[in-house]
Amino acid sequence: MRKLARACVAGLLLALTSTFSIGSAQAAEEVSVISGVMQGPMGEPMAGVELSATGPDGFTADLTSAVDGSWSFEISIAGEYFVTIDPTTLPSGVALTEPDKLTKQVIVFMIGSPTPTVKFLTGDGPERDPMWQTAMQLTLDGIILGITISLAAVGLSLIFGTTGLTNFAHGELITLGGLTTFFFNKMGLHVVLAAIISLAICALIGGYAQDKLLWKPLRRRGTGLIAMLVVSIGFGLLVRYVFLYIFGGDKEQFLQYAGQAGWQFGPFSLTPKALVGLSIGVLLIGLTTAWLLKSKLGKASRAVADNPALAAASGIDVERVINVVWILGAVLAGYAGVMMGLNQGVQFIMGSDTLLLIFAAVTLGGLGTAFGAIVGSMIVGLFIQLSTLIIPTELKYVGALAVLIIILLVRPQGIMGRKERIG
Amino acid sequence: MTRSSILRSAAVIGASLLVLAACSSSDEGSGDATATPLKIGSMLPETGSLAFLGPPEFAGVDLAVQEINDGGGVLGAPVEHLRGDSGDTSTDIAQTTVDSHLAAGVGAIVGAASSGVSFTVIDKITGAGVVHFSPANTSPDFTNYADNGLYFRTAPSDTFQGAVLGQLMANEGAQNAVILNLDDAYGNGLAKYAANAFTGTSTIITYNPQATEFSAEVGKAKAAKPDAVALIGFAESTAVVQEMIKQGIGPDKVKLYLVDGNYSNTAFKDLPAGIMTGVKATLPGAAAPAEFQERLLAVDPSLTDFSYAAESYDAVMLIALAAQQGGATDGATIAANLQSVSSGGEKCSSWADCKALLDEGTDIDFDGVSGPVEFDENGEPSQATMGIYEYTANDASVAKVDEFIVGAVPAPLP
Repeated sequence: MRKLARACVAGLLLALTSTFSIGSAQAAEEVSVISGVMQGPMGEPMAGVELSATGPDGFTADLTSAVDGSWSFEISIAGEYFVTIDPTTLPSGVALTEPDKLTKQVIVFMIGSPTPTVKFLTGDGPERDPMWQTAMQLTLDGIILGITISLAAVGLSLIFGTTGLTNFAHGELITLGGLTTFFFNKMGLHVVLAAIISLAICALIGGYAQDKLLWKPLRRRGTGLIAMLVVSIGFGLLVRYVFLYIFGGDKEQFLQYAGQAGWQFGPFSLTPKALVGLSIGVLLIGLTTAWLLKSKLGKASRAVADNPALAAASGIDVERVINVVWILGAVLAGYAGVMMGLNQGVQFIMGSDTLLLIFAAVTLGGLGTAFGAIVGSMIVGLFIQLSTLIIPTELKYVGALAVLIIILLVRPQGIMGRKERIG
Repeated sequence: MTRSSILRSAAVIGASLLVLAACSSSDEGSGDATATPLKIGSMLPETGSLAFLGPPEFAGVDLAVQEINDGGGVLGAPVEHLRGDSGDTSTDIAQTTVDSHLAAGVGAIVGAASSGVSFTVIDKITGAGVVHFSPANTSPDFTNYADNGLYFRTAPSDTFQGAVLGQLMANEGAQNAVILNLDDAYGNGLAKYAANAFTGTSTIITYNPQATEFSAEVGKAKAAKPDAVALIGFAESTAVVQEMIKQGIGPDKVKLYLVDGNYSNTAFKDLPAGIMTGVKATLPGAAAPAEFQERLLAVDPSLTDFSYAAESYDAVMLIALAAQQGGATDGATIAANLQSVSSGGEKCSSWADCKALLDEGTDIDFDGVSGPVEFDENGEPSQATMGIYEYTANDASVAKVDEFIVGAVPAPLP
């Protein structure tokens, strides 16, 4: 009796695996169907393609696609199934899109629940946008990133030029701009109004007070540049964690314009907020440039950068120039924070995450020159974006930093920097 | 008697009472002469890119500790919970937390939420002979990691979530998907298994979560002309979604799928109203029952999400039961008993019931809130439930309970 039953079961299994007669499958209580369809490059059905399937408990099946290209088999136990195509049985002239992927895994978690339709794609695969189209968008985004970086880089470079300080706490000015805007925005002010108040705070606390209360006393005591550099690293850390303490660690969005849909012009996508932010950014940089070139104080600041002792001797109030440069740098960096906040959101770490790029831009352009910082920033911004056409996106900063190293090997003073006499 | 001497004698009496109290409590515990009170250190995100997962996870730990201590504690002594922050991979907060927990002599550390963070401390924890128990790590790389048998988790490996995510996109009609993932053990693992299970063509695009902006990544995604996008990330996902909206592949245009790392009812609240409606997310674990959510809310009334609260609760329960069964609170004893209390035996689901069974010497099988939790030989759940959730507004979502997937966790691909 038992022998007979065993023979029956074996016979049933044989029937299941070889012929898939509907009668035998119905013997199982509940079944799932794994199915697929074979289609040519234009979507036409392909008959007679041979596939084989394996599964748990020694399950095997041989399949041939029907006239409409479809194939299917029924299973009664959950588990991992593998369907392998025999590419030699494809119609002549048809090739698989992924010729090295002949086996597909289908995991059935529960018998009775739907399983996805298995497809082996043929032809060239889905259409993609041409590379030039992506490159256009990347150029636009590169300009936006370049302007954002240059807003911070100009201030960093001017401060370095006039005081010799390599300010590792400059990123925190960006964060100050972003977070105070967010703070006033949350209190109910429109983001534009909040940004204006925030920039005033940047000027007053980030620029004026920071210089008067921290850096001026250090300069007066004749603290060395390396010591000041280390002070700036520590000060930056302190400020960063004060921000964390006050505002928390989350990335926050402004109440207005978050997730604004972009305008699509041909290959370009651009949000209105990014356009306005970019225009104001360009205007600010333009004004700074004009100030440096035309105004008395601007000329004085360049003179201080050139030679502080000579500038002081010729009657320039060096301390006043430095203070103004600090205020200017803080406002520009604060505005960079507003721009980043508008496009990406604000977080306590937003400035320090950008600091490396700012330093790259300043060094690339030539330390201490405002124009060099702008040129360096645009190169870094464009290179970061455009390099992703070739290198994987998770490594996008690598390309820009490689360019930095190569340019500095060829031109150690940076693009716009002047050669310094050594020895 | 002067007033000061009254005070002095009161103080002396008070102090002696305290000493007596201390003596009597140690007398009670003398049945387990070697047992020291169970100390559990938490290492969960209070700050960093997963900070939104912190409150529900801490609430789960706190609730379990509270219920265990209300039920008499482990081996007669109350469980001590040492809170700790895990930060994220951009900081070394987790190292500091682990150092202080190890110095305090914990038997087990519950955390971290991020697989990337757990990888930075797993050697230190397991090397010190302490149980490393994560309620939320899903990276497939932990399965065969050399952890001296001390690493456990209540969350299933992403071989499971990846397969469910890939099938979900395919079942909803997607033919050409883009998978955008953050570059870490979690993101890369989940993306690999999602792409494997997706039956159409898929493009994997990886991004650095610390990037200043994501236009190049989203631009690449747009160029692939996807009909579905799976976004695998943490808190930076909001910025990525904003960039997708900007470039015209936002959730209103192309189907978007989220995962446990960015499924949150608060992260997308400031985006244009209703844009997230219809977005689906996968989250391991059975839906937290309303009754369990109420118990959590009693611990932390400000909770808005319940992600991984059940897994955290179960983790603490399992550690406590393993210590109770083993009769000691050190890491080795807990690890040796975890598989046994999680599977094979008389089923129980509350501390009181399970402890009563253990006191009778019965073999127990703890069934948690997150699921049956049956540990395999690698210290991972062999069976799991995957929840499917759908946003009904930017700040609200519902569990699609009839679409939940229950099944065996697939083996990692070679």
